[in-house]
Amino acid sequence: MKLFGQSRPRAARIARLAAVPVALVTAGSLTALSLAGGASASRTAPRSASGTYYFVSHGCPTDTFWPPVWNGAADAAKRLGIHVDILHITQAECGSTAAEVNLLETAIAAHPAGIATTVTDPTAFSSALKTAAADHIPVVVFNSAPTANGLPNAANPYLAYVGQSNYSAGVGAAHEAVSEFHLKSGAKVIVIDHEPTNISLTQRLNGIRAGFRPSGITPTVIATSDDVSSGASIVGAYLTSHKGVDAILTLGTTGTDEAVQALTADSLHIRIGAFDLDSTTLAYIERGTVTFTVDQQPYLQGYLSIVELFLDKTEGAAPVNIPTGPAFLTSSNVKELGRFVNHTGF
Amino acid sequence: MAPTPAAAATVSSRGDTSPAPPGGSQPVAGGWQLAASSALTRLLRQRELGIALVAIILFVLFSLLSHGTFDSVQNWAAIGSATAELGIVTVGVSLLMVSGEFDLSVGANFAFAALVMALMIHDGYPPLEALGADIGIGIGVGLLNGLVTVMLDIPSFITTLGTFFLWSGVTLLVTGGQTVTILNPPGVLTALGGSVSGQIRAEIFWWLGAGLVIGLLLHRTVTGNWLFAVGGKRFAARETGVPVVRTRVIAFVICGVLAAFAGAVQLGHLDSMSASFGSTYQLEAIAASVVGGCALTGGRGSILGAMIGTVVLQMLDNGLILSGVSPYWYESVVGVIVIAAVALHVRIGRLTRGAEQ
Amino acid sequence: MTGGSSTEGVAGAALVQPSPWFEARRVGKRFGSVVALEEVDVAFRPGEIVALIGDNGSGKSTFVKIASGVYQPDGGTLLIEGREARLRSAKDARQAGIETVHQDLGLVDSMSIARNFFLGAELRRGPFLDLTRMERETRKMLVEIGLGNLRAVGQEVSRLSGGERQAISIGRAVAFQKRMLILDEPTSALSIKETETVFEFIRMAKVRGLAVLCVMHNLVQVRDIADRFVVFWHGRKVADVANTGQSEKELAEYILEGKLSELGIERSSLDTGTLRALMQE
Repeated sequence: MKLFGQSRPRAARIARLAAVPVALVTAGSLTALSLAGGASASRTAPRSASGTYYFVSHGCPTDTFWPPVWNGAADAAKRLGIHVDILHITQAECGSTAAEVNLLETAIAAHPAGIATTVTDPTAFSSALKTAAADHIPVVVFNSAPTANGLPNAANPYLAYVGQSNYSAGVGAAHEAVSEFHLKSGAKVIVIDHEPTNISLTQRLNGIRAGFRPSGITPTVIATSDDVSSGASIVGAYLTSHKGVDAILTLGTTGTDEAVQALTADSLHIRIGAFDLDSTTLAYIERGTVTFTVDQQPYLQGYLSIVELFLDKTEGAAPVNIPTGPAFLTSSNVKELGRFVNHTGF
Repeated sequence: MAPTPAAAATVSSRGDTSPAPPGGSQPVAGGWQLAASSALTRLLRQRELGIALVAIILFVLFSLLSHGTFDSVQNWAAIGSATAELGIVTVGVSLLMVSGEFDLSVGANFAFAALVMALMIHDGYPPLEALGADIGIGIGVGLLNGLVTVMLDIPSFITTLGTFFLWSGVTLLVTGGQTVTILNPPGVLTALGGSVSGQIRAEIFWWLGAGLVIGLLLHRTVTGNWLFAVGGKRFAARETGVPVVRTRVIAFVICGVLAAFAGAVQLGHLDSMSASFGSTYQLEAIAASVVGGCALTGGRGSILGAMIGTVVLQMLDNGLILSGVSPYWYESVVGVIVIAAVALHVRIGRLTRGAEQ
Repeated sequence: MTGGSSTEGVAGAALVQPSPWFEARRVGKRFGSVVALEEVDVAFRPGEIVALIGDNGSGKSTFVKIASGVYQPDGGTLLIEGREARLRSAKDARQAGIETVHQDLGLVDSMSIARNFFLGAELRRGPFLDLTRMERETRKMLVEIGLGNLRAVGQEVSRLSGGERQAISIGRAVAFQKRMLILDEPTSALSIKETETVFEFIRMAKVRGLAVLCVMHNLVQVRDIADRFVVFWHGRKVADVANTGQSEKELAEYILEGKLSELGIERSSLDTGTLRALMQE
């Protein structure tokens, strides 16, 4: 976690939200707690439904953003000595909200000790979340929340949200783009939406639109898919037919791959700002292909969701909202992260 | 293959078919063997037998492995609602498969019809009109599939692969890929996919209803008889005066309507719809139908079998999770089950039909 | 008895013969420039088995398809009970009373005997199939036509032997009280024993008063079943004679007459081996 100890000029911008270090401290102390606190009994505890935690996400199996999230949850389970089942949708189900809702409903039916889930739609998860609340199953939402500020509402009850406010992250990304790329009013900016069905990407998009508005920029949205090669050809076709694009913003690692692969000799000058971080995005930033990315610390989203559920169960400590981002990473501050990024995405 | 009692009866009665004078009585050779084996044969002849066995084995297995969570009422409510939408699609797909055709466009049809319905409700049209539009699109998509296949005389696999891309594209065009959400669902949506009692949702009853209606249509009406005939041997059907073209087109329309209706039901369940919903259904529906005893070559199959097949797929998805097996296994296991179930159908079929073919 | 009275006797017998139920008059059919049938006259009487024989490409199957409503003739007329009839489809022909047992038998292997029996003429009760009655009627009809030992009527046709299937097809025609039965190569895939069984059914159809048209390749077998031979050569009728116990060789000569005259071969100079060789061509 050297990121925060850096003295380089950009380092100051990394932690815009004070809560990030708070989260780190929480995580660290929890780990210490579980290691020292004689919790060894639970480490060998037999698996049963009441002792199991479920970790549900809409993560597409081939999306490189997600392994750090899953690693975070798995690491937390290992260190806490609890059993966490990480549920995945299949590759074919990528983008299908119904598939994730089915996973969540299955998890609820098992009456587990707790559930961590993403909520990618304002209505689709509602009845499942209400059922969990009625059955007194603790639910922590991470990464994607049904509301722009991450808070639960009447239709979507849950205990806490671990993740970034996607809206404010979007606003921040727009500001970053304006200053990094020296964009003027009327500049041509396109935004690649690789999962148009995902509400958190829509929230980022809304934030980006709002963030650009004061600068007089109206971005164009290109809807692609989780399939990088077809997404790249859609973006490539757009760039061929629309000259004079100044900058591309992506909404996640898949979109970033699509943007980079779409660039040709004619369009290499276009600047790219990204969302999320994986080893590929890291390499793009080091090479200068991508100028910046908005990181939400996916590893922490996985890790802290489980920790919160565990503490709720064992200590009665009510889960709290933990903003894990946004943090802005550029070529000047990412170099030292390389050895962690595959596991933690950090 | 060793002759079964039934096959032995076949052999002993063959060649004894010399005609008696009209009205004369016939000695029935091997009749007692028939009586002894007919109960077993009749049981084995049920196309649902294989899949029912698989379902029972999986049920016992998962109940044991899941520490009592699998066989709870609440879990079966979850399995039921996960089954319902795919199940409605599968009912149509299996009827179409009996008639000897495929529909790869059901997933696209599902999303397209339901998205139009969602947009209409969103824009304030009366919900019943929106449902009518959904069904209308289903009829239209099915009619197009059927007419193109019959008139241009191309395999339905190709026709519907084409219309799959066609409607997927149109859907993205209409919505720009965005999800359409209904924040205040009208009564129609609640009736389609809302809660009936606790976790038990209306969609389960729509699925059972669709299965009952289509099951009766296929197995107990003249149209159903013709569907089997057209799928079993199209030329023979034509020779005996079955309206082959009309029957084939009807099958596509029924399949299209059910796919669109399933979309409406899912909209009722989630109050949300996007172009990617239902995208896995075309292959899952074929898998469920095949697992449930529908022959890929047409002419054989049962709606009940296909319904149990859908439940088996959802049991796998759900049971693997509750047994703590990595869900990554799901697709692999489905693959194995599809092959195993078909192998079982083939064996049972040979056993009951004898080995003479 | 004088010679004259003998002739009268023959003429008298002809008068006693029932009038044709189905008649083709100067019927022709061409496909593009190929003439498949040319001004063919054939009559079919109740209770008579007519064997249609001829080389490949002689127009046999074209004629069968016209008689069963699959093709429409380009010229000439079809008469049923003396009245002009138009058979626009297989369904028309069936409704007119002509049942055709095609080479693939018109049976759907994957369906039950009962469902096959009533295919295209299903019994209903309200909107539903009356399966109980269909099975009962099928069983009754099978017994009536002497197929009572054919196992359960609910089982798939795919379980039946070739002869049994022929029997079902013929039985279907008899049971539905058709007036004419057309059989296209009914014995081509059968063993000798099964062939004899099928012949019994064809004779039964004859006894029931059906006009029977039987297309056959096998000149040995056809002698056992036919009352009359109609011979086609290149789309024309070249012979129409009663079965008076002609030998296989004589039948082959009818068939090959056209060819022999083309080749300039005297009929009397032929031996059976040469005939067989010519038939093989």
